[in-house]
Amino acid sequence: MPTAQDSKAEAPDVSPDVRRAEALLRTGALQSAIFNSANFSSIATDAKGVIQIFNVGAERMLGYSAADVVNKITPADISDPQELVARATALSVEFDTPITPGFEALVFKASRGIEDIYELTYFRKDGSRFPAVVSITALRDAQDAIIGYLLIGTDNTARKRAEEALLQAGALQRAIFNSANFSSIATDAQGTIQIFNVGAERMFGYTAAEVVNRITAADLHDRQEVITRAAALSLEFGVPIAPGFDALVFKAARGIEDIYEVTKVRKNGSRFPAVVSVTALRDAQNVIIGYLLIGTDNTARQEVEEERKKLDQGLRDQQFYTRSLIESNIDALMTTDPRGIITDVNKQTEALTGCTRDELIGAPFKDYFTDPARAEAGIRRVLTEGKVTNYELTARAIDGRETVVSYNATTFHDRGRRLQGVFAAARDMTELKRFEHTVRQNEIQRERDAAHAAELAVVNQELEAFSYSVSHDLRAPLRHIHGYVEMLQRATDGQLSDKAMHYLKTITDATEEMGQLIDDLLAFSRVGRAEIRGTSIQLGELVHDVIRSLEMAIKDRPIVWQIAPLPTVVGDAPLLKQVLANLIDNAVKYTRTREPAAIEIGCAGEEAGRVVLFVRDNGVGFDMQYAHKLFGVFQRLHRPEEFEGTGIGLATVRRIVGRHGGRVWAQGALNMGATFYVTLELAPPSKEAAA
Amino acid sequence: MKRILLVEDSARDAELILGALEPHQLAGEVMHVRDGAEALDYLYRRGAFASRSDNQPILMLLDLKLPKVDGLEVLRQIKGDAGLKMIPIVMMTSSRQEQDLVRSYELGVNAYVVKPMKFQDFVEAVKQVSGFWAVINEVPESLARSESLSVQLTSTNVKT
Repeated sequence: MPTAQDSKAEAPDVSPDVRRAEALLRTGALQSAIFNSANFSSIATDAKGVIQIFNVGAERMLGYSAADVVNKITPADISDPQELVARATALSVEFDTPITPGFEALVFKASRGIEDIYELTYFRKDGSRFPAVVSITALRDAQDAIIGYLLIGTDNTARKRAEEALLQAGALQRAIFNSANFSSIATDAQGTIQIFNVGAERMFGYTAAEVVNRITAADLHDRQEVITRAAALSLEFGVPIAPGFDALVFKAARGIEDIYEVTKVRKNGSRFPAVVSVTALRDAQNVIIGYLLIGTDNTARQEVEEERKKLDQGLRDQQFYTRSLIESNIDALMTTDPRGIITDVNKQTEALTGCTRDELIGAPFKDYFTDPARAEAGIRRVLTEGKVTNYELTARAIDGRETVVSYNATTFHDRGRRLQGVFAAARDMTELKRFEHTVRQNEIQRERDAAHAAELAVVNQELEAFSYSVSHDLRAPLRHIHGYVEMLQRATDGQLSDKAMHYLKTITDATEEMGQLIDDLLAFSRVGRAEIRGTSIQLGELVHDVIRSLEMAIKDRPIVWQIAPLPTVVGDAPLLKQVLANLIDNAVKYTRTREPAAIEIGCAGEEAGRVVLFVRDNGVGFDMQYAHKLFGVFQRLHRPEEFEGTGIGLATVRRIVGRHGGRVWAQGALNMGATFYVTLELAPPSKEAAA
Repeated sequence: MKRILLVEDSARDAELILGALEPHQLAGEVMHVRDGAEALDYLYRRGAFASRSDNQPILMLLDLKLPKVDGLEVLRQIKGDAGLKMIPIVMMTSSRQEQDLVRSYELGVNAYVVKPMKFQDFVEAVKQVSGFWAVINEVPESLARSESLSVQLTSTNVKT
């Protein structure tokens, strides 16, 4: 079979029938599908309108067999003559040429190459009529001469019903139907799409021609959703419902108004959410002839809803954030309206007042203070001055507990700059007050201490003056007594009796003792007041210095010294030297009766980080039951005839060691010697000491 | 002609000092005044001493604690006077107070002696100090003038 191109080029004189068929073929697959479809009436005529082809769709729609009409009548013969007249008249006016109200009226536009689709009413063989939409195309030969016409019609009954229903439904639906924003899809009773409006075209991406009479409305739905819906409906109504068009219109078919959300599928396979309203279309006998599905693209709404959800969430987050800022503030925050009525509070305010937020909101601000008038005055001041700072009030909680607070408050306004009220922050001043009190107390204490120190300094000065006076003035008469006794002895020059000489000697001895006593007391007194200047002291050297200074006193004494290596300590060198001098002096003194005397100086371990230094002798010792008296001032365990002494030496030792932070103690037994212990601070190990 | 100026408010101490100097025949050399003001009057030849024509002393034994003008003040004035500062001054005092010692040395004292309790020690100290400064120590010509430094040890007069 030659191709269309071949026939065009090489077969100019083939029969008109063959050319018509070829022309039909040239109109393409869609047309051929339509031509063979039972749902379309396809009628081909010759140039004069005489029917040449009458397809199955035409036979079905019009009730004629092809044989009844081919080569016998024109399509005008089965059309409503009134309509033909009206159409001819209209076309005559439009094209300003007389057009006869016959076949010419049907094909006039098509003959002029104008695409022409219009509605007309066909008469069936049985005389009944039905609305049809007819598309008319001129069929031309290779020379472009018209050789006939093709009239393709669809039964427009369902659409007509839909339109009628829509007309009945009123203006809104009409608007919807004509709107590009609504998809209006009318189907026949089986779901086959009959009307596909501009809105539907826009939404789905199909042209009406692509879907009308070709697919059902269910084909535009998400398959899975249709199955789910069918299952849900089956369950709801207790009858099996097929997962197809039935599932979409099941409710509507039963007169139940049905609006639901679905996912629709576009021509390109993409999906979008839609809200669909389904209405059954019924004929005069209330028989369902189709359905009208009006849908709106829900994408925007869903997006809007998503957006709104996000906004709501954002708003909630923002509110939470703002609230948490308010709540986490250490200050008690509240807002009042311009009358001073509380409008909001945070938890700190609840704590401050002992009232709940609900109790506080709506109550007058001033009610929660010991001085309501002052509280109210504060609010008034904020309103007149715009703010107050460090406005002190005493809040009184419901349980009577009072808290001194310092208010900082400002007015606040809405976006329109209208005064909304007062925002007030109360800082609990309790801690600050306590702190200030403590500071004041400390200051007072410091002043007292300073006064005390000044008093002490005065007392010390007086003591200083006193001891100065003692050393200078008290010793002078003694010196005089001593001196004059000497001069008397010299002046009498051996003329005095032995007894008189003994008296003079006793006077001299007594003055010497008193002189010693004064010196010791002064030394003891100085120790108590002297500033301790801590330096590193090598005890061994100090011990040898002391022993050397005693050389004269001990030169005829048999003394066995046993001196262990001694550590370096920290202390005031002259004072520690006095300690060692007193201890060693004592050891020397109380071993006077021993031959040989044995004196041992060493360390007896450590105590609380201090070295324990001891001085041991084999002297007369002491009874331990009097040990507590050893270190007291003027306390002596021996008569002066036995051992001279003032009873101040060991007291001085204790005082010096005590002032160095150490302690002294003694062990001994009568006639069994004595050991004196002192604890001294060890010098931190230095490189020198380590080397 | 007095060689030694003794500034001592205590008559007993003065007597003891003179008694101590006596066996060494230095007592006659001593001019004794009783307080700081008198000492300064003597040295500056004013008041009761306005008509004094003898030489300045070659030694001053100065008690620390004195009525009117105390020893430290006397020391300060003399050591601050270009014409007198070369006179050797020995502080003789009962005080062993550290601050007195320090202050005295700061002011330029030549020696500081604590009066010993024991008379013998006292005598020894006076004798040694006076002997050293009055006999052994050399003084500049301007102070001693033409006078011989040989000591005349006869006088026992004590001028008060």
